[in-house]
Order: sequence, then structure tokens, then C-alpha cells
Amino acid sequence: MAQRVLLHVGTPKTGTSALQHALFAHREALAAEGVLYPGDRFDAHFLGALDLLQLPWGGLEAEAGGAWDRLASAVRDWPETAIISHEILGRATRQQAARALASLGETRVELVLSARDLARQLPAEWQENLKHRRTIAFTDFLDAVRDPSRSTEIAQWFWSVQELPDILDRWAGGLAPEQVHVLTVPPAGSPPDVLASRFATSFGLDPALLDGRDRANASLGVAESALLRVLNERLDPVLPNHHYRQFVREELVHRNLGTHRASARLTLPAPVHAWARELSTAWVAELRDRRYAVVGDLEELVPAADPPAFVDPDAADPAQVVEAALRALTASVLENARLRDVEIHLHGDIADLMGQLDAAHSTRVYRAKERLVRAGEVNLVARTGLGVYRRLRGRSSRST
Amino acid sequence: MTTSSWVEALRAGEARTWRSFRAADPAAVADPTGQATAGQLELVRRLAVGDPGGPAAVLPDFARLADLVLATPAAGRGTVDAPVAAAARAPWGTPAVEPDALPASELLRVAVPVLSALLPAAPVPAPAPRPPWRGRRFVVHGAPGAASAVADALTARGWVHGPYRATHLVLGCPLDAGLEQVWARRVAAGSVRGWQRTWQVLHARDAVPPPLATAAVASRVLAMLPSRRRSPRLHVVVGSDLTSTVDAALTALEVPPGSVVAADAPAVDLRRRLNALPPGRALDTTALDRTAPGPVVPLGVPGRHRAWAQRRAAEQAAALAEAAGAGNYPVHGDPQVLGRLRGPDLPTRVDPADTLARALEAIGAAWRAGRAPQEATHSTTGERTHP
Repeated sequence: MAQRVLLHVGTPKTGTSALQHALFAHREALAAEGVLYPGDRFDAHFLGALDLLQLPWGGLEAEAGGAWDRLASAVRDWPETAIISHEILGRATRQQAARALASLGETRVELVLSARDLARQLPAEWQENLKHRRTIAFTDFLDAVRDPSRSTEIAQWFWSVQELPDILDRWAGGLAPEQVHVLTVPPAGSPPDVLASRFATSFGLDPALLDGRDRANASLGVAESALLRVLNERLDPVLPNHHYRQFVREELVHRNLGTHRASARLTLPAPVHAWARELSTAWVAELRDRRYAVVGDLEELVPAADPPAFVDPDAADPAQVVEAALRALTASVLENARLRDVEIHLHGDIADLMGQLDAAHSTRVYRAKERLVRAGEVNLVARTGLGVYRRLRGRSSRST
Repeated sequence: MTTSSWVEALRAGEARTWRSFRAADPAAVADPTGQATAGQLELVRRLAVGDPGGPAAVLPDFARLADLVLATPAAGRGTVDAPVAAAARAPWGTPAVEPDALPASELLRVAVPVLSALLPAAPVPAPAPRPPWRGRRFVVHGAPGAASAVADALTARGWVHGPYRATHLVLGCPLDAGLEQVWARRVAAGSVRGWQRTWQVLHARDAVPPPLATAAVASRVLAMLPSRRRSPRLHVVVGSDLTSTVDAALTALEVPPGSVVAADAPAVDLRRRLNALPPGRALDTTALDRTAPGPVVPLGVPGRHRAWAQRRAAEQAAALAEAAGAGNYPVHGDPQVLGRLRGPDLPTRVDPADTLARALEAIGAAWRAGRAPQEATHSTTGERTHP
């Protein structure tokens, strides 16, 4: 039974990918210090979350059966500290959260929620929607999210993983305030190691073990986002999910468009910025009243009073979109060429193996057997004889 | 009085809505500490209301079925923990709703995992019996639903499935009727794709599913047959829908027609939603077919794909007519049938309300079958133990 479980349940777009990459990469070093990061694959915690939440996810849910129970079992069997981390866990219902906590046994649970100000979260969540094949315009996204009825799937998902007081109501209702850690993401422009340092403080770990900056999720600019939205419209009905994940999300977005952002940063229109600031202020007051353990400063969750300049991604500069498209095209051509080289190499391997196989099949006995099998396809006597021979001999994949 | 009183009334099999419950007692308020969501509570009420076998009390141990529903979190995307109206709610969280106003799609998010917990495990497939040595042999190609029905009918009449000196049947349907069969077959194999999306993908790829390209299938089969045995051993049969195709095929072989179960769109849609759950145990979903009531309403081609479908269907009809004219093989039925799509007035999507009705029936049937009381257990925390 673990002495302590650090259960990190969100929120998305708060450096979670980099954190999880670092935890997975350093899992042996962590284990040596008595800290378990369970799972034998990088996405084990994601699959566990899909399983717990019963969520479909572009076919990946097919790999998720039993994944949460495997994580929980590993935690229960570990004698010291364990960490479970995935940002979509924030979406759990009260019953799912209760099930998750119950599955960890009598272990002391420390809930961790990392949070970032809404003025950055709203554009980031829109961008995340684009990276998951959606084609919704930024204006429509903001309208959907701000609609009090929350009647759209977009709004339901956004609030389920971003509404801090509600996430903590669902997850932390039965926990003492000191068991709940709210970690704030520092303002834009802060040194990159501040966030890792805060995670390390929350988890009680050496900050060197949490350096995952090389895996940080890419952030697209206005023109790159506009391009991706149009590309999604073209690809939606024709490109299967597994190819989209590899060629669009990983290759184009994460490795190319996101690493060399050439256009303006996504921000909010001034009225939406003001609304986000007002809402965040109310949240911060509520969180302060609850007396959770805070790493960072709750005031960092309130967007700045002066909104940054807004460039509308629904009316992006065509020249900048063309430039982004050319970069995407260049990357696609280069990747295509690389894969073609791999294919040529594999064809060479296949030809070599076929030659070896032909040599093995060129014996007289083998050719006689082949003639007999062919005869069995049209001649009942031969077919019967072959059947009797096979039954006497027993099945073997090495024989004809 | 709070929602707790309403929950107790529901557990006892009452079917009053929260709205009417409040009207009877204006002081009634939602219990903010209750974990049950509006969707779970409304599903319990619908099970009480919608039971076709009579009042809820007929369902054995209804309170326990209600507890099962109330402990099963909604699956998939949608609202999170929607509270019932009149709740003393915080300024955040999912807005409160009148449970009886929830859309069917929200109720299905609870109904599907409940059904998944109640359905029995799929039986371990028995090894196929060795085919008899003697008997007329056959192979059926083409529209998969019709092909299965014909194969079953022929096997029941002593025919043997296998290629040796076999009679080959190629079954053709119009594109929409055939695609309905392809869709049902794919969902039975685990697909989660809906009817409209199936058309969208097909149209974008500008491709007819291979089994529905009747003339091309027939050409391929013909090429495989020894030349002297071609004509008598290959029959192409066309019909306007599954039933007429099966009947025509059996008539062509002088076999008496049997009963045919057409693909029922709500049942297929329900299977599709079950497929979308992360996999647990393999489920025996045959009960979903048994609960199918009344006549089957076919699905139509979604409007934006209709012109494309009409063009491709006409191409199929022309190709088959040309082959028939060349006398390559006998064609039973009018090849032009392949070009006649169903009318544009048919529904082009499965109504979630129909799927919900099917789910409620299936839950009732599975509960009555008596499997759940012994095999499904649930804790108050919502933890599910798979039967």
C-alpha cells in the first residue's frame, strides 16, 4: 500500500505534457527515490483516464479497457509515494472521482490541480480543439463557451476541464484543504524552469527530474491556427484518425508549425478578456476561501487588466497563412521523401527474403507437393488423399 | 421535501416527473449533497414509464435496478453532473435542468453503460462443425446482410458452404439498401461510425464499398471459375432491398424462402454506442435484435450525398446491364433496380429517441432475464463490477 498518492487531475494546457514526459523519462530514477510513476507506456495514464471516464477518443479507447484498474493496482502495491497524472481527469463526475479515490485503497491522496489564467486558457483550448480535428471558428468557440446554457459539446468539455471551483468540488469534496494543492502557472515571459520548480514543490521532488521542456506542446500563432482549421475541413472525411495523429498533429503541428511560430500570438478580444478577468476574480476569491495549499500565487490566475493586442484568427492575414502553408508543405514533402526512402529500403529487404524463400522452395520434393496441392483444388480424389495425409501428419505451418 | 424523496418514489416504481413532484409540493428543493444526476434520475423514471411489459413493479426488484442506474456514471462527452432544477446551486458547474427535458442523447449516455453492465457475456464460439462431404456447395458474394441470410437458408436446407464445384451467388442491392447492410455489418464488427458519417466518408473517397459493386464482384468470381463451368455456376441476383434480394436468390436456386430479419437502424445505433465504451468483456448483443418492435423503417441517403449516390448507383446499374446483355452470366431481376435509390422523404439519421426506446427495452429485457441480480454488483461510490 502506497503511503501517499499525488493525483494530478488537470487542468489541460498547464504544462502537463512536459511534466508527464519528464516523469515517464525519469521513472527509474524516481523509483530509486521511492516515487512510482506507474505504467509501461507513455500514455498509460491517459488510457487510465479514458477508462475511468468512459470516454471515446478517436479509437484510442479501444486500448483503454482495464487501464485505470492497472494504474490503481500498481499504486496500491507500491510501498512509498506514487504519482498519477492526466489533465483530462479533471472532467470526472463525482461518482467517477469517488470510484478513482476508492480504488486507491487507504492511501493518503494529495490532489494536485495546476491552473492558468483564462485569458491564455481560452485560446489554448480553441487551439487544442483544432488539433483534434475540429473546424469551429474562434468567434463561435468563444460564443459557445460564454453561452450560460452550455448546450454545446464544446462548452461542456471546456468547463468540465477548466472550471476550477467545480473540478475541485467534484474531486476534493471529501479531502481536507491541506490535501489539495493548487499550482498556478506563472505569467507569460517567466523563466521556463519556474513551472517545473512549482511542480517539484507540489510533488516533493528534485526539480531536475521534472525538466520536460523538450516535450512541451507546441503553441500555434494566428496564421498557423487559421491554416490548421482550413486543413481540417479538407481532411476530415478522408483521413483516418491514426494518420491524422501522426501526420497532422505530430508532424505538422508539433514538429513544424508550432516550433517556428511566425505570426501573432492568439489572444482574446477585449470584451471577452474583461469577462474572463471578472470570472477569474470570482474563482480566485472562492479558492482563497477554501484554504487549499497553493503553490505559486492565486493572483496569477487573474488575467492582466490591460488586454494584449488582439489579431482575429477568423480573418487572418492571407499572406501569413500562405507562408504557414508553404512551411507545412515543405515539411510534408520532406517527410514524404523520408518515408519513401524507408519504403525503398524495406522493398529491398523483402526482395532479399523472397529470394531466400524461393531458394528454399526450389527442391524437387517441394515442387511435387505443390503440384499435389494444386491438383486437390480440382480433383476430388487428390483432395481426399491430401486431406487424409494432413490428418495423419498433423497440422504444421511449415508443410504444404 | 428534497430530491431524496423523489429518488425514493422513483425506486418504488413511481413515474412522476421532478416537475410534477415539485408542483405537488412547492417546498420541494433539490438536495445539493445527492450524487445522482438529472440524467440518471430521468433514466430511472423512463424505465418505470417506458416498460412495455406493464408498470414498473413488473420488473423484478425495480429498486435495485434503480440503484444500478443511479450508480452508473454517464459515458462519453456531454454534461458533467447536471443537477436537477430548483437546486440550490453554486455559481459554477453544469446548469440545472428539468430532467424530463433532457434530450435522448443525454439519457443514452447513462443507458448505454447500464445496458453494458447488464448484457451477458458473449458465448465462447463453438468450433465450426466439419462440413458434410456430400451436398450442393455454394458461395455467396455481395451485399453482406442478404448474403448472410441466403447462406443461413441454404445451410438449413443441407447445402454446404465451400468453393469446390460450388454455385456462386452474387447479390446486388441499390447503393442505399446495400450500404445499410454494410453499416450494420461493420458495427457488428466493432465500428463506432454513424450512418451520416459513413456516407460522408464514402462520398469523400468517391468509392462504393467493394461488396456493393455488383458487376465487378461478378466479374471477379467469373474469372476464378474454370471456363467450362462458368455459366451454370454463377448467378447474379438483384433486389430492391434485403428481403426481396434474399427471396429472389432462394427462388433462383429453387429453395423455399424463409423469414428474413432486416437491419434495424436503432439497434445498429445502439450497438454502435456500446462499441464506443472502452472495452471490457465481450457482450452478447443478440437480445437487441429480439426486442425489435414493429416494421423496420429504412434510412435514406443524407441530402448532400444524394446526387453523388444517385450517380454511382446508376453506374452500377449500367455496368450490370451491360454484363447481362453480353450473356456472361444469368441475372435474376432487373439490373436497373441497382440504380433506384429510396425516396428522399426517409429519415437520414437515426433518431436518438428511437435508440433510447430500444435501450430501455433492452435494459428491461436483460433485467428480466435474471442475469443481473446475481452477477452485477455496484457500490454506492459508482464502482462497477463487471459481471
